[in-house]
Amino acid sequence: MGALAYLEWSYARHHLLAIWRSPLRLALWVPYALLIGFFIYSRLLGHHAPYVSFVVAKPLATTIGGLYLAVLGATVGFAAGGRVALFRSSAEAILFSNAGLRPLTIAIWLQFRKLATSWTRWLGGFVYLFAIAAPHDPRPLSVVRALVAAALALAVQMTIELPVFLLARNGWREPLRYGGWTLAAVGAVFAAAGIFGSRVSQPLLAFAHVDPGAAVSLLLRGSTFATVGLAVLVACLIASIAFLGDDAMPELFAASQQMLASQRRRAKAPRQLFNAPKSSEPAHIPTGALALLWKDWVGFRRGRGIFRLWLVGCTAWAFCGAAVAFGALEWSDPSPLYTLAATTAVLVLIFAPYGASVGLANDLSKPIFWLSRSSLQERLAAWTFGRAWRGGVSLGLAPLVAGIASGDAQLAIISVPVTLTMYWSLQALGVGLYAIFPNPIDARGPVMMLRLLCTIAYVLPACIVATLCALVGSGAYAAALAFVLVMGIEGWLVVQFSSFRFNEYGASIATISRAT
Amino acid sequence: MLDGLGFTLERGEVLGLLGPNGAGKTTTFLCLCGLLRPESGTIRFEGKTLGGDRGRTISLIPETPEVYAMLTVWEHLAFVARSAGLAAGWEDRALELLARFGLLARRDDLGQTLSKGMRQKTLIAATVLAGAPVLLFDEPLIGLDPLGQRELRDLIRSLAAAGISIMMSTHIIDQAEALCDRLIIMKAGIAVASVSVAELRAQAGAGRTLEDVFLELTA
Repeated sequence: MGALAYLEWSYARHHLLAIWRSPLRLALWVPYALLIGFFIYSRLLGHHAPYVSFVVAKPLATTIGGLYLAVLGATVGFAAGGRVALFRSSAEAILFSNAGLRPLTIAIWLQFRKLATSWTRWLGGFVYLFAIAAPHDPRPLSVVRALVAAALALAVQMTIELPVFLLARNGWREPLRYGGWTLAAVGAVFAAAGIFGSRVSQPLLAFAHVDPGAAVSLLLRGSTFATVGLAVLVACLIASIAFLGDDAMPELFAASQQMLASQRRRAKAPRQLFNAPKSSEPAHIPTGALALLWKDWVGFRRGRGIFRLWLVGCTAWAFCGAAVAFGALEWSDPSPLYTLAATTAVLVLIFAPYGASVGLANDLSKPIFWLSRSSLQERLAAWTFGRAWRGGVSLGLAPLVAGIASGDAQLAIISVPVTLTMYWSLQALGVGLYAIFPNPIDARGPVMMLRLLCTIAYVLPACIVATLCALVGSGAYAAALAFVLVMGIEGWLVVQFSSFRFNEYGASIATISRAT
Repeated sequence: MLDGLGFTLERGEVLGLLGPNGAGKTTTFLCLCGLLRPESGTIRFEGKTLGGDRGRTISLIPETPEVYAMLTVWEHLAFVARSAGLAAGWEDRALELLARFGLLARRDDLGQTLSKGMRQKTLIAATVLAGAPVLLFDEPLIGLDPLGQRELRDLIRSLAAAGISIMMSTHIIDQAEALCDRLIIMKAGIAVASVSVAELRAQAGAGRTLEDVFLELTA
C-alpha cells in the first residue's frame, strides 16, 4: 500500500508542478479555484437576506431519488456484465503485476483510488450543479447536510462497481445483472412519476409502499440514522473487497482492457458498420462541401445503434416535454420543476459544443478532410449542420410535445426551428472553442468553466434580444425569430473565425489534440 | 485459444515464440505472467507451482511499453522497489541499472518525454530491479530504430548472460534467429514445432530459407 501511495503522490505532485510551471494553465486554474471558492463562500457564509432551509419539495424528492436509483441500477447492471474500467492503462496493470503486488492489495487500492479520483474529477461539475440547485440564502448547516448527503450518495455510486464485478465472477452474474437493470427500471418509473405530479405518483407510492424521495428528504433534514446508514454502506462496500478481491487480477485486467479498447474505439472509430444500407454504387453523392452531409448521413444510417440511439433520444425528450407539461399543472409549486428543466437545458448548452469539439478533432485528424476543394467555411458550415440536425430535432421534441400537451400552440410552432438553430449555432461554437482550446488537458476542470462562461456569453445576446422583442409586445413569434436570427448570425461569425484559425493552424491543432 | 502448450525454459536461455498474427503468442505471455487465467494447466518455477501472484517471478514487457506520463524514470524504479519490498541499498543497484541501460542522464525526466526505446528500457530496468528471474518480451523490437534494436538485442543477451531466463515473441524470423537459443513455432494456439535454431537450419537444408520452413509449418 505504501508503494501505491507513493505512486499516486508522485503522480499528483508532477501534475501540480506541470500546472504551476505553465503560465497558461495557471491562468485558467486560479480563476477556477476562485470561482469554486466564491460559490462555497456565498452559499455558506456570505448572507445578507433571511436564511432559507435547503429542502426539496416532495415530488422533486421522489424524482431525485428515482433518478439516483436508476443510475445506481445501471451501474450494477453494467458492472455485473463486466463493464468496469479500473486501471489507467493495460501497461499499469502489467507494471503492478511486475512490481510483485498482491492481487488483493491491487483490488483494495483500485477501490480507494476510484473513490478519490472520482471526487477530484467531478468536483467542479458538482459545485456548478450545487450553485444552481441551492437557494441563494440557505441556512449554512442545511447546505452542509446536503453536501454530506450528496458526497455519501456519490461514494456509494463509486464503490459499488468493484464488489458487484467481483461477486459476478463468483456465479452471481445473472442475478446481479437482472437485479441491477430492474432497479434501474424501477428508479426510472419513480423519477417519471415524481415529475408527472401527485396524481400519478400518489397511486404508485401507495402501491409500492416505498418512496425513494423519503430517503432524500431524510438525508437533507440531517437524519442521523439515514446519514450514518449511508456511511456504513460505503464502508461495507470498501471492506467487501478484502473478502472478494483475492486472485482477481486476470479478471480485473481483462475487464479494464475491454473497457479501454471500447473507449479507444468510440474515440477513434465510433462507427462500427453493419450490412444493411450499403451499396457499391451510391445513388447520388452531392458535390463540394455538401459531400460532408452525405458522409454524415451514411454514418448515421450505417452506424451500429446510432439510429436506434437517436430514436431513443427523441422518445426521451418527447417524454420529458410531456412530463413537464403535465407536472406544471399538477405540482402546487412548479418552480422546482422549472429549475430541473433549466438545469437540463444548461447541461445541453454545455455538452452540445463539447461533443462538436470531440467530433471535429476526429475529422480534422483525417487527411481526407483536407482534400476537398470547397472553402473551409463551407465545409465547417456543412459539418456543423450535418451534426446539428439530429440533436436539434431530437431536443426540439421536448418543447414541441410540451406545447401540444399544454395546449400552447405558440410553443409548439416555434419549438423545432428555435432548437434546431440553437443547436446548429452551439455546434459552431463548439468548433470555435476547439479552434481556441484544442488541447484536452484540464478539459473537465478549468477549461470546462471557461467553456461554460463562453457559452453563456454566446447565448446571452440572443436571449436579451428575444426578451426585448417579447417585452415590447411583438409576441412570441417575433421573439423566436429574433432569437433564431441572432443565434444564426453568431454561428456564421464563429464559423468564419474557426475557418481562419484552421487555415492558419489546422494541422498543428489536429496534432496537438491527437498527441494529448 | 491455447491448446496443449507445454515447454521448459532453462536459466539464462533465450526462447523465441514464433508465429503469425493471432497464433496465441501474447495470450501465452498473459497466462504465464498471471494476467490471464488458463482453464487448466500449471506453471512451475524451480519445481514449485506458481499461483495468481506469479508476476513477481515472471514479468512481462509489453509490445507498447507505456509508462506513467507524470512520473520520472527514477520514480518508476522507486515505486517498483517499494512494491517489491527491496532491502535498503536498492538505490545503488537502481543507479547501476540506469547507467547500464544508458538512462542515467534521463533519471529525472518525466515519462511523457521518453522515446519508445527509453520507455522500454525504463520498464526493463524496473523489472530487473524487482528481481524477476524470468522476463517475457512481447514483440520487443517493433517500432525501434536500428540503433535502438541493436541496443535492445545487446541488452537481452547481457540479461541472459546474467542468468535471467528470457522469452520473446516475434513474427520476424531474422530477429528470432539472431537472438534466440531455441524456438517454439505456434499456429492457432498450438505449438507446431519446438526446435533449436541449428535444428531449424538443418531442417531447411540447402536452397531453402528459415522463412520457407516457417511458412510451411504455419500454412
